[in-house]
Amino acid sequence: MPPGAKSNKDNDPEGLDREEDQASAAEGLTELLGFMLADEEYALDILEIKEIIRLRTITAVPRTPDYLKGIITLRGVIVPVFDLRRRLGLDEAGHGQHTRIVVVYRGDEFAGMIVDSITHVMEVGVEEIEPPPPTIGTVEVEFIKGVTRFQERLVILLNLARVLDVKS
Amino acid sequence: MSRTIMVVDDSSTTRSLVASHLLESGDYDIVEAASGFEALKVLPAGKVDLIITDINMPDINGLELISFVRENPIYRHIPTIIITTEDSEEDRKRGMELGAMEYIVKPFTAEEIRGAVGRVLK
Amino acid sequence: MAGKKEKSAYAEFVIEAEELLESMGDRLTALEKDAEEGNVDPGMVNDFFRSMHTLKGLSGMLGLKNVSDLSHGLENLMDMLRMGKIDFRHGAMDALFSGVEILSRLVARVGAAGSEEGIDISAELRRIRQAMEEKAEGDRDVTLENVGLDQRILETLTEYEEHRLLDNLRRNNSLYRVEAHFPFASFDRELHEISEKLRSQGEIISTLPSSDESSPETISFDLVVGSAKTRKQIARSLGKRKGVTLHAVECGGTPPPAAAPASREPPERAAAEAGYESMTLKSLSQTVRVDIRKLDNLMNIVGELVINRTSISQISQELLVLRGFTGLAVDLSKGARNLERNLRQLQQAVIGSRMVPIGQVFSRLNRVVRKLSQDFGKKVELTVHGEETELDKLMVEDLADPLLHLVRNSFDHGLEAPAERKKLGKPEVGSIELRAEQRGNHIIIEIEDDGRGIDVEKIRKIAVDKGLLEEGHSADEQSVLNFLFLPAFSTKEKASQMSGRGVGLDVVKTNVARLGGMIDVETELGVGTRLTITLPITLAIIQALLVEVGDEHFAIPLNSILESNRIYKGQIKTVEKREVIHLRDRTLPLLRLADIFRIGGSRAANSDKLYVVVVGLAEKRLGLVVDSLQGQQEVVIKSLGEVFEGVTGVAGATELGDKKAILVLDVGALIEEATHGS
Repeated sequence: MPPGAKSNKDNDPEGLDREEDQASAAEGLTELLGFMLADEEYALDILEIKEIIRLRTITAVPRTPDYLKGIITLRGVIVPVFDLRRRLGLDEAGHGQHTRIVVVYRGDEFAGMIVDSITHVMEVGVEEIEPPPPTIGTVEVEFIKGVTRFQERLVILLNLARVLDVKS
Repeated sequence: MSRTIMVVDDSSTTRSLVASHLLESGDYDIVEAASGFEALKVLPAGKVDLIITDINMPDINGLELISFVRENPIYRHIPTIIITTEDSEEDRKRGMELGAMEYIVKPFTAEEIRGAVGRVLK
Repeated sequence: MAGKKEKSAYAEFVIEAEELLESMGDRLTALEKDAEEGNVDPGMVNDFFRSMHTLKGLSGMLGLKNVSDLSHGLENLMDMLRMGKIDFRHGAMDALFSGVEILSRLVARVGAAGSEEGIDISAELRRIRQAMEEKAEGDRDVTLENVGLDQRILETLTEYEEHRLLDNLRRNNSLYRVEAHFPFASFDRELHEISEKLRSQGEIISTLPSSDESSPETISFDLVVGSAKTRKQIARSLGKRKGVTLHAVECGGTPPPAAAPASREPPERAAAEAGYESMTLKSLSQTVRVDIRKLDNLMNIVGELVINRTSISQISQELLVLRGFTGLAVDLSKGARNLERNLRQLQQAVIGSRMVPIGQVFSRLNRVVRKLSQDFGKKVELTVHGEETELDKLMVEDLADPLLHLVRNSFDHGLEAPAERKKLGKPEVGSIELRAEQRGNHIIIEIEDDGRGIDVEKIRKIAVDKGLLEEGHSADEQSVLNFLFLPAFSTKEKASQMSGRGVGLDVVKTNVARLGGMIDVETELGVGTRLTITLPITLAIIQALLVEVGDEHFAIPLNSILESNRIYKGQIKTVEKREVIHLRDRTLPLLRLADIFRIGGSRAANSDKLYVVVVGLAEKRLGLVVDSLQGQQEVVIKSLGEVFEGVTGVAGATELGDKKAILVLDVGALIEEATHGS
C-alpha cells in the first residue's frame, strides 16, 4: 500500500493483492533509535525498545558466552545484559559517562544491550531502507537487517532477533 | 519392542484413563500431552507410533493436530485415533475424513480403547 | 466407604461448583443484556457451555444425579445456543436463569446436608425441553463457498468453529488470516501473545499449525480471525512482529445491511414464580481465584518496597547522627521501624495468599483411584491425612502429576489382586494412605500402600547385571533402592516392572528435585512400601546463606545446607584428582566455586584457612569452598529467564537492597556435577 493511502475494511482489493504486507508496515514510515558502537551508527526500530537506562552494576553469570555480560534487576525483574560490541564482533571498550543500556523486548521477557551512547530518534521511510551490502565493516551480515541514510550518514539497522538469539 | 502412543486431551482424567487401560497390557509406552501445543512440542522428541487425540481442546483442536501430522512428511505415517463425545457426530466425521483411523466415544471401556489401538497398530 | 471421605469429596465439589455457578450467573446477566442489544459475545456463550459441561462431569463422577441431569440439560441447551440453532429468546433465557438458580440451591444443599434430596428438577427439565424447540429465526444464507480460505483450513474446522465463521460473515465482519512463523522453542509463548492481541480485536476462529521438514526449528500457524475492525486497526494492535503477516480474506459478495437486533421483553424470572423462600444468595465458600502472575507481581512490588524501606532507614540513621536525638529525627526513625514491621507483615500475607491446601490434589487422586478401582476390579481404600497442609500454589500444580504417578504405581504394582490378598491373609481391600504434614520449613508427603513391597535383592541383582554395582558389593538397602530412581532402571527393559514398581520413577524424581525437594523409599517385602517426598514450603521466598567468592556474591538455599565449617588447607586430600576432606567419619567431596565458575581473585585459592559450606540433597553430600560467609537473609528467587536456560549450577537470581542482583546456587545440580563428574 502506498504511504498515506486509506483503506476500507469492506473493500480493500489492494490489500488483498499485497498479501505479503508486514502487519505494521501500513504506515510507510518507521521510527528508529540511533546509537553509537565503535564510531558507527546503528539503529533499532523504536517499537522494539522498552527503555534506555544508565549503566548499573551487572552481575556476571558463569558458564555463558563472553558477549553475555550478566544480569541486572529492573524494578524487581531480572534482565539479561548483552555486550553489544562483543556480540557483533567489535573490539571491546571501556564504559564511560555516555554508556547506556538499551532495554528491548525479547518475547515475554526483556534484554539489555550495552551501547557506547545514544544519538537520536529518526524517522525513515520504509522504502529508504536497503538490504545490507555483502560486507559492512567488521560486523557479520547476519546481524544486519538493512542500511539507510539519515542526514548523509550511514545507519545500520540491527536484526534484533538474530542478535538476541543465544542458541546460535 | 513396545510402541509409543501419544495421548492428547485437556482432561487429565481422560488421559490417565486411556493411559492406564493401555499400560496394563504392557505392550505400549504412553506419552501424555495436555493440549495441542504440548503435542506439537513433544512430537519431535522421540518416535511416536500412534496419536490418540481429543477434538475439542483449548489451543488447537484435534482436527488441526491431525492435519498438521498429515502435512508433515516426517509424521505422515503416524496413525491417529480420535476421542469424541456422543454429541459430536459431525466433528467425528470430519476427523475420519482427515484421515483418522478409528474413533472412540466417551465414556469408553478398556476393551474399546485396546481394541481400537490393536486394530490400528496391527 | 467412610462418610467422612464422601463429605470431603463433596466439600471440594461444592467449592468448585459454586465458583462455576457464580461465574455462570455473572455471564448470564451480561448475556441477557447483550441479547437484548442483539450483540451476543460468542466467547462468553462458549465459556458458559464449557462451565456447564464441567459441572455435569464433576457431578456425574460423584453420583449427584439431580445436579448432573439438570446441568446436562442446560449443557444441551447451551450447545444449541452456541451453534445458533436456537436464539436467545424468552424461553432459553428463562430456562438458563432458573436452571442456574436451582443448581445453586442443589449445590448449597449438598454442601450443607451432604445430599441433594428434596429439590425437584422436573419442572426445570421441562422448561429446557420447551426452550430447545424454539427454532432460530431464518438467518441470512451465507456459505463458505466464496470465502478465500485454504481448503486445508476449512477442513479442520470443528462444527462449532464453522458455525462461528458463518456467524461472522452474517454479521458483516471481515475475516483476516494471520500467518505466523515462530521458532519452535518459543512458539507457544509467542502465539499466546499474538492471540491475546487478536482477541482484543475480534474472535479467533481457528489456529492451524504446520511445519516443514526442511526447517524443523520453526513452526508456522494460520490464525483465522473474524472482526469488525479494519485491517489497519488490527495491524496496529499486533504491532511490529517478526514472522507475523496479516492478510485480509475474501469473503465473497457485498453483504446486505446487518439485521435488526432481536428485541424481546424482559424475562419473567423463574425464581419469582416459584417462591424460593429458603433461597440464599450468599456463597458458602469465601474464595476468590487470582492469577498467580498477579501474586508474583505483588511479590515484586513488596520487594521494591523492602528496598525503599532500606534507604529510608539509612536516611533516618544518618539524620540521628547528624541531628542527635531531636524530635524530627526520632520521629522518622520510629516511622521507619513501623514501616519495617508492616512490610514484614505484608510480605507474609502475600506469601500466605499463594498458599493452598494440598487437599486439592489429594481429592483429585481420590477420584482417580476410585475410577481405577472400578475399572480393574481391585478393591482399594484411599485414606488421606493432613489435606489442610498448605503449599505454594505453583508447587501444588507441579506435584499433581508426580503424585498421580506414585499412586498409580502403588495401585498397579504394589497392591495385589483381591484373591491373592486373601490367600496371603491380608484384608481383601487394599489400602493406600496419603499423608501430608508441615515440619518446620518443609512439607512432608507420604504415599504408603500395604501391597507386596519391593524385592531389594532383585534390584540388587539387576543393578549388578547392568554394571551399576559390583558383584558382592555390600551396598546397604537404601542405596540399592535408590537405583529405582535412575533413568536406566525405570525405562530400559522394563526391569522395574519385575521389581514391583512402574516406569518413570526417574521422571518423578526429576520433577520433585525441580521443586527443590527429595524423595525417599522404604519398603518391606510382603508388607508394603512407603514413599516420602520432602519439599520446601514455597519456592518464591527462601532463607539463604550469602557467601563471597572473589568479588562475587552467591546465595545458597538454607534448606539444603547441613553445616558450614572453617577448615585448614592441610585437611584437604586428593582422591582420584578430586579434592575431599574427612568430616565426621565421612569423606566429603569438595567443589571450589571459584574454579567451576572461573571467578578470579578468590582468596580461598591461596589461603591457609578456608570456608566449606556442606550441602546435601537426599543422601548426597558436598562441600562448597568459598572465601567468606556473609550471613543469612530471606531472599525472593526469580528465574534468570530464557537467555540463560542452559546454564547449570544456578537456580535463579535475587535482588539485594542495593539494586544488585546476586545468583542463587542450584545445589542439586552442583551435587550432581560433583558426583557424576563434569
